Amino acid sequence: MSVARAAKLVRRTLLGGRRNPMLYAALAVPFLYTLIIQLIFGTFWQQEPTLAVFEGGRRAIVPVLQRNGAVRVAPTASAGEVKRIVTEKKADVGIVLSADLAEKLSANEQATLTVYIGGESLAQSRAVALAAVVDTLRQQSPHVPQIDFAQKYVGEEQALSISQMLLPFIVMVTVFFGGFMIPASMLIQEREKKTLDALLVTPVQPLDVLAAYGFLGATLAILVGVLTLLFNQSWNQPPLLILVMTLGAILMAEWGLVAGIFIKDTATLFANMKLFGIFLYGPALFIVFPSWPQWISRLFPTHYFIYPVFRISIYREGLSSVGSDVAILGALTLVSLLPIFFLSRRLASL
Amino acid sequence: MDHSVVAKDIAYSYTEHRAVDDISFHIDEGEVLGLLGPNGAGKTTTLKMLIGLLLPQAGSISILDMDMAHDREKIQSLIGVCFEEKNLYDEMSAAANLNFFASLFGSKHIDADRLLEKMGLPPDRKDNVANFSKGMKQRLMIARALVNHPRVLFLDEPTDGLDPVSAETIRRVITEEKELGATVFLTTHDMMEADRLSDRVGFMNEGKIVALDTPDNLKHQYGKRVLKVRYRSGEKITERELSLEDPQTGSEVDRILAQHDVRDMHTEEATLEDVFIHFTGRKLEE
Repeated sequence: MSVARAAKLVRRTLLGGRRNPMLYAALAVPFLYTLIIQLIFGTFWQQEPTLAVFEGGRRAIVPVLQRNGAVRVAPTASAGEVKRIVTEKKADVGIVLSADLAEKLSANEQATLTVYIGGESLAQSRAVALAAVVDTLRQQSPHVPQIDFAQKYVGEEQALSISQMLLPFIVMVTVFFGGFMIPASMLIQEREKKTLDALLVTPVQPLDVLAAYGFLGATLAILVGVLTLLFNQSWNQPPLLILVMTLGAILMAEWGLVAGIFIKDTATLFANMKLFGIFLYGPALFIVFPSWPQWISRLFPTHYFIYPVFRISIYREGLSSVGSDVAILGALTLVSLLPIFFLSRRLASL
Repeated sequence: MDHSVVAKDIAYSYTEHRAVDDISFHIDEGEVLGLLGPNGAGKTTTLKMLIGLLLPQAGSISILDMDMAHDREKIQSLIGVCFEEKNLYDEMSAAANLNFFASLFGSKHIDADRLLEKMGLPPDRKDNVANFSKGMKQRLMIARALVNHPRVLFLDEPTDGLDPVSAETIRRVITEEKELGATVFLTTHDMMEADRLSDRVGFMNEGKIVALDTPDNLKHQYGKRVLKVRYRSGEKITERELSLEDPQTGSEVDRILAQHDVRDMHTEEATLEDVFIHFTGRKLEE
């Protein structure tokens, strides 16, 4: 295999006139899906977390909080109303500031604040809201404020928003279009147009072609996948996420190449995807429907990509909890490389 | 003389159908070998094995003293191939197609304009190949086959279905390449073309090479030279073919001349078509 020749094939694909429509689809579809899901279910247009606040007494702190640009402050008339607003998911976090808080801060005394946290609020929103509160109190106090937060969760703690639950589906779409469909459709298009024969009677070897389209698909899948996670504000633990995204993208590219070797035309490729696409997307459904028996999800190979992405990006979990899944993903990626070598000769004989 | 191409007992089957059935032949350096045969005779399968797209299921192929099974990449850097089907990158210009394929052979720069001019194509054309006529595409495919200055050229039906100008340009280039020392393997349906361009001609039928020799030898050995006579016989015109190999022909001609009003009389040389019919019992088009 020659890296130089593979690079020439990639360059021709990207720069040689009209491009394969799948390239555009791979770039556009994940963002389109994200946009639709965020518009319907999400908080795309509402970036700032909402903080419900009740302050007893002369209300010296609320105006300062309102000047803090990091949160949207919703003042309430009573402590009970704070809880109600958070329960109704109209605010991510609620806080009750006692009437004697300003005095305690001035006297450098310990103060305890009741904080209501919406179970479905994003971790990022909670952190931003509480940081804004601490920052404001620090401005009000001549000393380092001594504060305890008495946290009370409102609603189901581990519950997620629909847009978060659909994130694995979007990531799978990203990796599927980039990693799987690009190598498969490129190979099939070369065969349909007979240009593959023209390539394979030059010093270009079948493995060069496979490497070129596999690399193109996997790279695009990783890039768009990372952008999708950023776009969805779920870019947590970058090194681990990049590792999982890379392994998943390579795995999809390998499967795309095998499909491209066996499937003879584009119509058959799309027909097969309609029939068998569920085997790729299946594990994403098990995340959307947590009441389904989760062990079934583990029967799907893409589970070992989707699940770690979900746990890392949404729950900020690390290798200690998803390590075994990532290891299985790595093993699948390595094993799927073998058929590529064995089948490469078949490219020329079809 | 050195053999540029040697095929020894090669065979290839598609499931039940034996497309190429243990054939052997060689092509000398600088020689043009034409392979003739009807559709499905096994010509294209033979060509695909020679250019490394198919691995022979039996036998061996050697090109420029290298074994195709082991030195495929080296061999492919020294050959040029023109396919029957138009397989250019339609979304690129002619020069971009040539430059891209030249780069695959490791050439950093080729004189694409000179190649295009040689093929009778406008050198400064920027539009995509998709807008080219069939004849222009075919000429560009020949140009593409020449980007690496190949020592062996493989041409699959290079003039099939082309206008006379394009066909003639391609025939001229084949002759020029031969004069420059290239070895040429040519498959064609066109007997006249094979006769004109080939040093030797092979006839292929049902996966086997049934005859292989120079066109003259084949025609002499298997063709029939005839005398065609048209004469008035009563109210109608009669046409007769008399074999020049038949010792009775002389006396028969004398009789016709004496008894009839002869309108015209001429000899007709044997053709490769006759040779093909001799071996297969059918015409090439059937």
